[in-house]
Amino acid sequence: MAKDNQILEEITSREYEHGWTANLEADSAPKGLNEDIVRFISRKKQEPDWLLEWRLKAYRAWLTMKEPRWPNVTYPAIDYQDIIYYSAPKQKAAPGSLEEVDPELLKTFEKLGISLTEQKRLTGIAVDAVLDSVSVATTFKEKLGELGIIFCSFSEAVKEHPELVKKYLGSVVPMQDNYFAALNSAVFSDGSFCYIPKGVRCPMELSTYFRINAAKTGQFERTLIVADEDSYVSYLEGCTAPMRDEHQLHAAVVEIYAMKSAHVKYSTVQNWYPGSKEGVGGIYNFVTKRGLCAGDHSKISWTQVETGSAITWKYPSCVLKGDYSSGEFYSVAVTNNHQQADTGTKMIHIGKNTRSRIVSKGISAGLSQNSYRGQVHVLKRAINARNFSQCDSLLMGDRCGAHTFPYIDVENSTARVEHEATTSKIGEDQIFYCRQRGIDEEAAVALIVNGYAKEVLNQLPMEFAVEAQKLLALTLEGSVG
Amino acid sequence: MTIATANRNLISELESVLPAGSKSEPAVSKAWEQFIQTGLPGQKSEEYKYAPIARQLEKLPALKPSAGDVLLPTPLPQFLSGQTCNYIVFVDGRFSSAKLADKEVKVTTRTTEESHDAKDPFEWLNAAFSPSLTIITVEEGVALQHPIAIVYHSSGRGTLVNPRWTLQLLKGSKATVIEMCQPHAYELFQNKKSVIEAGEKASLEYLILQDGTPAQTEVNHTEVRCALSSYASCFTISLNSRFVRNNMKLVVDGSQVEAHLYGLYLPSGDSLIDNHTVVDHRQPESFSNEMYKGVMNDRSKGVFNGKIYVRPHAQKTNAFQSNRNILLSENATVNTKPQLEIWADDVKCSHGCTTGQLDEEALFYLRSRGIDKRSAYAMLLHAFVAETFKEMKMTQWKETIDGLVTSRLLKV
Repeated sequence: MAKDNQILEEITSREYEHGWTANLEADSAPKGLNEDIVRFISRKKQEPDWLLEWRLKAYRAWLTMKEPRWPNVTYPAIDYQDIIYYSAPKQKAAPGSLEEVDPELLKTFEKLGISLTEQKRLTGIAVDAVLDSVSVATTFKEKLGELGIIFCSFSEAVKEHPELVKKYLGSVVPMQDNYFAALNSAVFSDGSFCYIPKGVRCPMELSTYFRINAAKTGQFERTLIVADEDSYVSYLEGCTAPMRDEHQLHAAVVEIYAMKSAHVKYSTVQNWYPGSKEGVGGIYNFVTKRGLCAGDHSKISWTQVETGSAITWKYPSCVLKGDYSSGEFYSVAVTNNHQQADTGTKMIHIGKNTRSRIVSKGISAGLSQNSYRGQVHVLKRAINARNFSQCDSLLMGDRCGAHTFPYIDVENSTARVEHEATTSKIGEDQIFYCRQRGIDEEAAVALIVNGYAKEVLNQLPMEFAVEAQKLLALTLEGSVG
Repeated sequence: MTIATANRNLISELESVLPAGSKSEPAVSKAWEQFIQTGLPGQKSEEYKYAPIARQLEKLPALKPSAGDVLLPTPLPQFLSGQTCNYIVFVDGRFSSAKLADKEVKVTTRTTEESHDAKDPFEWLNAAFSPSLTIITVEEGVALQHPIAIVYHSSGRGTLVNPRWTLQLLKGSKATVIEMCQPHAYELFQNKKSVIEAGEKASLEYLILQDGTPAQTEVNHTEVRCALSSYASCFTISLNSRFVRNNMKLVVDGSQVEAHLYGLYLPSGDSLIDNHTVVDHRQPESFSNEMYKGVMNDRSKGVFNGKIYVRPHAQKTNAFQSNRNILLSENATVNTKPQLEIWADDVKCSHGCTTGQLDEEALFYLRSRGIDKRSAYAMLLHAFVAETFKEMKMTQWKETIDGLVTSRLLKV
């Protein structure tokens, strides 16, 4: 036990490795939120009128809405007037190529281990880096362009492909969808846009990297992925933030639109600053993610590894509208210290012969609370819908909590829906078995946890899987219950 | 039958029929205040999301309790015919008489005290309308020879009935309890609150049978508290009712408790059966097992919500839950929400939940052996549901229920 405590202490006293700040000059809006701020952001981004109107409409809708109180998390009220809604790293002019990008900025991303400089092209991932809500650089653009793939920052897309943006923006997550989606729709500053044309299989992983740098800012980015017929894309998202004593708000929206036989795979490794071990500071991660399987035989698959954030409120969902479409959700959510997570998914079966699969693995340690909240809804005309859900929780320590709130609503008699959940701790017998074979306790825990999460980690692209495994080990090793 | 008028003000309607002078009683006035404060659960209420109780009550004739004492010749339900029981009879929600077969059973009444832990508005409503509480006690160390039968009669004179009783099984006692309505066809709202306290080493078998009241709207609050080393096995069988909401709460208040909750619901027509269960593990080293099954036919609706709480202190708890549903018709729906909330780490908890239909291959197998379609269906459905009452120790009841269920399934 004494050894456990010692190891636990070591782990919990370990610092958040992405906790530094970079000295970047930033161009910010004044604090607070009103119509003028919305106009200011829109002007800064040189947006067309229709988009400004859209933002204002969202803002007005937001004013009439109430912050959701149903998640199983507690936090002090957020003062929406005490947030800077727009902060951009200052640059003299839009960079034509990477050589013109502020070297301090490049250093920032190098520190994060993200290759913006294309010399590292061996990693073979196209990256769109978003710093404090603004996209700073996108790599491999030309190469993707040859295939007709559009991968750029959101503001660029608004300028260069307004017809696409106008058509699909808000088509999956309407602006009044929920409180945080409405807020995002009003003040989103940038994000990534991706279009895969008909029949194209994207040859490399596309990736967005988010970082909050400036203090007191909120990050509100928007990602829109449109996959045309018979296309395929795998998309990655990663995030970090500096250590700060105050809470910062991150309210993003991700929309995926999949047409006939398109396949989109979206993976997230979320490592926002979780707050200190006393629960001071950290990111509030209130994100709306939804995919629409609009065409027949389309498929959307969400994979997430959630290790950061003080509070996570996130339900990547699939609306299975096309016949024979399918949705998948794989999640590992780890909470430690004072973290709280309320995460899960929604699978809405509308089309015939639609299928969905949910695998959720929660791990709670320290004083954290970890909730799975999900819905499987089979509508009346969704003949032969099929769902399988599994959500397991692992508890480490006797002061944390694990909760599951699955809603299963079936309106069609041909549906087959299965749900199962378990809650347990790492068995002493399992540890004993490993120890007997000369594996020390810490390694044994890492082994067991990795095995426990393997079903989800296997879904991640290789580069991410390695990072995710390291993150898991970092947050948990040694915390034997 | 009165036609439902939009925005009927149920609260003021209820206030106008509160028994005269009862508001001067502190317990009643407090309960009434609490009820007004929470109000009737609307569509936004998470707990009553799938059971639109306010809309249902609006469809009923004016709600009023029956006036004066009713002394009716009270025939015994057919289900219990030929059986010697300790009968405790409620008429229009109020305690009427007791016909006891065992001398170790005592029935007393006293004024309802303020309840502290009530959360649901209907518990408050019950307290406001039932100024007296009936207490049934089984003496220490006694294994009752005959079952206790709690029977509700309706005279048709009241449309709002609020039975309220507590059963105390003192240390080491053992009892079998059945609770049911005498079949009737009155449109009324029954809002029951009952508590069973199983003392140390006590043993309880408890059957709630909901059958033969096709016009009744019910909300039932049933709480079973289990003390150290006690055993409880509860069966909730809902066969024929229009609108039923069962709030079943099992509190594990001691170690070495073994508790089972079984439930079966077979709604048909336009009926709705909503089972909300809570298993609250407050003490370590106990075991609970829950199994609810439903077969939905026609345009009916089945709802299941099962919460399992394991409090921080309740280490070494084993808690299991399963809920399985079959939808027979394209207009039937089911909403289920199994919910685990665990604050202790050294536990084994699981829940499973399925919704589906009968296996085509199994049907084919039976058909190919010359069994007609209807019987084949009934056979397979029977196999599916029988699990929920097969552990019943009262064989006589088990057989009767089996018969009732089989005849119901043959109509499918």
